[in-house]
Amino acid sequence: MVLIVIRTLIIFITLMIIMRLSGKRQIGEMQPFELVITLIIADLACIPMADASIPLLYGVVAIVTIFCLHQIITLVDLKSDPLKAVVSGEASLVINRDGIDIYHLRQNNLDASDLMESLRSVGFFSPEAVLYGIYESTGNFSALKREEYEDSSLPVLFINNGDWEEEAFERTGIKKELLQTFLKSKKLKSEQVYILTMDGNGHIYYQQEGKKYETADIAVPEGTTW
Amino acid sequence: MVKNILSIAITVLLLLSAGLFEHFYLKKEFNEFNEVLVELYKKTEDRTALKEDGEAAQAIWEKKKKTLHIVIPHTSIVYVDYWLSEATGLIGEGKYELALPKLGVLRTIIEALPATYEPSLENIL
Repeated sequence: MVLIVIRTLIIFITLMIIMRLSGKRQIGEMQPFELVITLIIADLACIPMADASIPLLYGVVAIVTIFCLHQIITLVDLKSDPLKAVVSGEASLVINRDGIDIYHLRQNNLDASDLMESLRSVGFFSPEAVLYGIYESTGNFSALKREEYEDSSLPVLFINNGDWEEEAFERTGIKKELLQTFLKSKKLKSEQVYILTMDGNGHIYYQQEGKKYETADIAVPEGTTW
Repeated sequence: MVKNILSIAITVLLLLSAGLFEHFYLKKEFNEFNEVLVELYKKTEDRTALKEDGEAAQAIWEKKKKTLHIVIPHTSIVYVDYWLSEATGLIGEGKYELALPKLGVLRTIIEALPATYEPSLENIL
């Protein structure tokens, strides 16, 4: 019985570490320890259910151990902020008034396309539309609207982490030369730009690493607006 | 928070109790059966064992098995039945030289089994 408790503890801690190291991409809407418990507990219940040669007590003891761990972590969450930060993680501010906080985004194993997806999930289509964007410890994304921004067309991601998003050109019909010319006018190369989006009206949002975001408006060819 | 601490205390107590119970219970059951086997082994060595002695050992094992199954996997103790049956059969036929190794294996299994449920490093890993 003690063996089961110890083995359950070790697997639980291992899963917790893996979930924390995986960043917010993996977690979805749960705290890391909640996800671990969800993963483990179904299996623990199934093993003695499916195999009659295994004493039912084995499953029960393991599940009770998981419950005990859950209660301990819940208590830690309530009582100790430093330990809470270690166990459950902290919210990450990934968009601020200056634009995208690329460091914190990378820390969570996320990139610009993940950020765009998260923005869309909360009803925003551009980082420019948001004053602050936060990835919660559960992996949820929260955003504060920038009041003065009005979107009139869908911003499409053309550069992600210094790389061109070739699909975006195919989807929009925009020629790469248009944006290359724009970057040249700013004395920039695509590798130097972390994110570049453009909407159907030629409104560009771009940001270099370590610098504040900038916007610009260019003329798009006739017939290529969206 | 009080409910939290109380539930932690109760579950820890329950788990510790279960662990202690398992430890002492297994030790007691296997030690008792080992004594039965030692007796049977001595009689077999002296060529005085009868089939009834083997069957008596089987009856004791059957009784213990009923409660042992609650605590340890069936697969861990199923081989005890096989070896004991073989040994009993051989004793019944008077083939003591063949029965002795079977009883030897049985004793090794009975002595070694409780150790596989101890919280040692090799068992955990």
